[in-house]
Amino acid sequence: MKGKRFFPLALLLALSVALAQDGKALYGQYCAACHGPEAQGIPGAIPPLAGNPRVQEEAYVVKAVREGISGPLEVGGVSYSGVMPPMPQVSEAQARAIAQYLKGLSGAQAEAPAPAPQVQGDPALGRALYLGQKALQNGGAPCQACHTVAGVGFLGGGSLGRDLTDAAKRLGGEAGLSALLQNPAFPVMREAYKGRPLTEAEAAALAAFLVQVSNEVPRPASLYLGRYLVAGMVFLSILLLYQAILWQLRPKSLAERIQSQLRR
Amino acid sequence: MKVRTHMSMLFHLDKCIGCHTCSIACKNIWTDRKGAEYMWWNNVETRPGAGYPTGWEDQDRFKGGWEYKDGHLDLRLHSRTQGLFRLFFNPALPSIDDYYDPYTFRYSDLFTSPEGEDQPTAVPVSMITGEVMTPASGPNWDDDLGGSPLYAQNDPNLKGLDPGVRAQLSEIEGVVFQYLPRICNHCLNPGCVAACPTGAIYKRAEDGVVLVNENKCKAWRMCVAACPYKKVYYNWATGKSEKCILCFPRLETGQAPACAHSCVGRIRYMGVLLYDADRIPEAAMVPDDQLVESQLGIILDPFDPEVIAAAKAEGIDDGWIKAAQNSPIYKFVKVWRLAFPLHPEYRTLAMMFYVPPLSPVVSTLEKALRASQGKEGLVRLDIPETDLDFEVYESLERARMPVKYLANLFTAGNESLVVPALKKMLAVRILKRQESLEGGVTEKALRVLQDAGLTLEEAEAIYRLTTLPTLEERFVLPPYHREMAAEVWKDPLAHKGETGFGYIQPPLRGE
Repeated sequence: MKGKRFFPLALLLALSVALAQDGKALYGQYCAACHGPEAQGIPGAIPPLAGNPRVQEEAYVVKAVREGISGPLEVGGVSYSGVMPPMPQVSEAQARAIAQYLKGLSGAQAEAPAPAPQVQGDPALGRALYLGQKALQNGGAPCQACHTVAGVGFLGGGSLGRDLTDAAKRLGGEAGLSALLQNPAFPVMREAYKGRPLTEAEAAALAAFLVQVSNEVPRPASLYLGRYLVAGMVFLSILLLYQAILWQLRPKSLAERIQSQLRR
Repeated sequence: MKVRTHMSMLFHLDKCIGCHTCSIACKNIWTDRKGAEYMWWNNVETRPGAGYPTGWEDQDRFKGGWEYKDGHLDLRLHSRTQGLFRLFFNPALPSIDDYYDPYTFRYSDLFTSPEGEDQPTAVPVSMITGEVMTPASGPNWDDDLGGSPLYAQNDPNLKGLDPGVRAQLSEIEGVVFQYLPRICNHCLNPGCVAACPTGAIYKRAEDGVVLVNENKCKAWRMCVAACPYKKVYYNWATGKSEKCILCFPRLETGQAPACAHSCVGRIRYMGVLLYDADRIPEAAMVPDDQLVESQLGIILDPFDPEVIAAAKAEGIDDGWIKAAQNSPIYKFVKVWRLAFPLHPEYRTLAMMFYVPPLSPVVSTLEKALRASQGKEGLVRLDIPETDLDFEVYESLERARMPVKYLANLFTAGNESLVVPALKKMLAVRILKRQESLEGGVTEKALRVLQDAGLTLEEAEAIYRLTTLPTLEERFVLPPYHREMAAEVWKDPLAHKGETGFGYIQPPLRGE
């Protein structure tokens, strides 16, 4: 009995140890989405890891993976100012395996990072996708469900995700955003779009929209508060009207009937 | 057989003059407190009329009493599950508008108003808010058919009446009304007790009085809705329900309830009935037209040796059995079959009984005569006055107060029960009138008496108990022996000092 119960546990342990050894596989799982399959990065948006002197230091990599990085950064003469989300789900052993893999990679990597293919996005299409006026091809939720950007939309956007007004600046412009949208690095967003990823064209359109919107003047929050109040009032009056109709239709007692007859 | 004793009241409606003295006596003793201003534990209604609270008999609106369906007896208000979900939403509750906004008059105005051309008047003010108001309804707003197009014509007991008869009831020549005093019916199968979610209402075993335990009451107010007679009231000041207590502190000290004691027409009788508690369910579960018979069936004969033995086995005191044997209620209800419970179709087995009233001597016969002569307007009947009663007796179905109406009130619409009672009363009236006015009884009167199923002795007994009873004959009160009950756990002297007015423990909201 006892052995049977512990068997799956032991199997899981053995499997995880085996995985930890495989730094390349772990890189593919956790890092490649943003930093690229060849660790080449995206110029101006996401720093390359191949040939990056910082990855030589194992402790730095482990810390970066598990606690994230933010703030200005300069790699190979290009400055970056993005945010790498913390991934505490990656164990320390796994992070070390990744660091090990990156260390081996850096020496061999000599060629210059290939420039990302530029797809020209349509900001109007992006706006429609953002607002949910046009459905995402693979059935993902429209961005507005969680995010707000410069107060676009009738009642503004959601407040679950971050305000995306400055996303273009934070996340490496159109190119960075486009890459990020196809392979979201943020755990919540990754879960939300699991199995229904954005297509390349959609990502490009959304990126173009986000860049365009970052140059707009954000609409004041009071506008949306006002709209909320008006919409709330309309909703409330509908409810009250419904109640009033129900109240009028209830069986009336004789006292009420007599009083209403007397008033007439 | 489980013999229990019940204190019952009987209302002889033929004697009621509608003076409301009973209501005032009750009000002054029990409901002149804050929160109880609108309550009338005893009220007197004019019938046909809407009563108090207005239209209380409309059970489609108020959902009182029981419903007998598919062999089940269910509260009309709700089942247990429904009750749980409707704890905070009870649309069947009457509102204060169904009762009335209680008011008084600002009498100080009479003394403090400045000098002027006009006589000062006391302004009506609400007893709840204290603000000046215009009274628009009251507990007897339709007294003596006041506002009858609005009130009397909406009386649900007029259903099933011939349209011609209904129309005639509102004509000035055919107009007729009676009074209906009402208190809590202290039912054998009370809806209020069944509906109470906290089990705060109970029926006393020794005399059947239904009481609210003010310490247990949690103000759910299900009793208010479930009582078909609307005789449980909610006190908004204490947050507890209150109801008629049949003046049990008076009964326990050998006095009749205040309403009965103060009755000017002496229409009220008090007495003990023995009943079989085991057979209550079967009595409540029969078709409508058999309800009165089944209820009378569980009222036991106090002279039956078997019943007496069973009563003694239940620990019933000899004094109570003797009181049951002398009970005027037993005579009216079981021996003479003159009295009926109010609205037996509510199936709560009401234990207050009513002797239906006789119609005025001049009746619809007039109209029939007019029609036969092809005349309009009032015509004096071409019958000697001594024969008028016989005419009424022969044609009860055309009596001015329609028999169907009385049947709707007292026998769930079963006219075959009301007619014999009316005939007996009329036969006694004819007999005694001839004896006292004409000095002798005619053959015709004796034939009528026989036809009504009465012997001369019975007629004499009905006459004596109806018109000439002494206080002791009207109120046959058993010895309660509370002193013995109190001695068990209390010093009798201390108990005596504490019994009476007011609350020993004031009921508090949230108790």
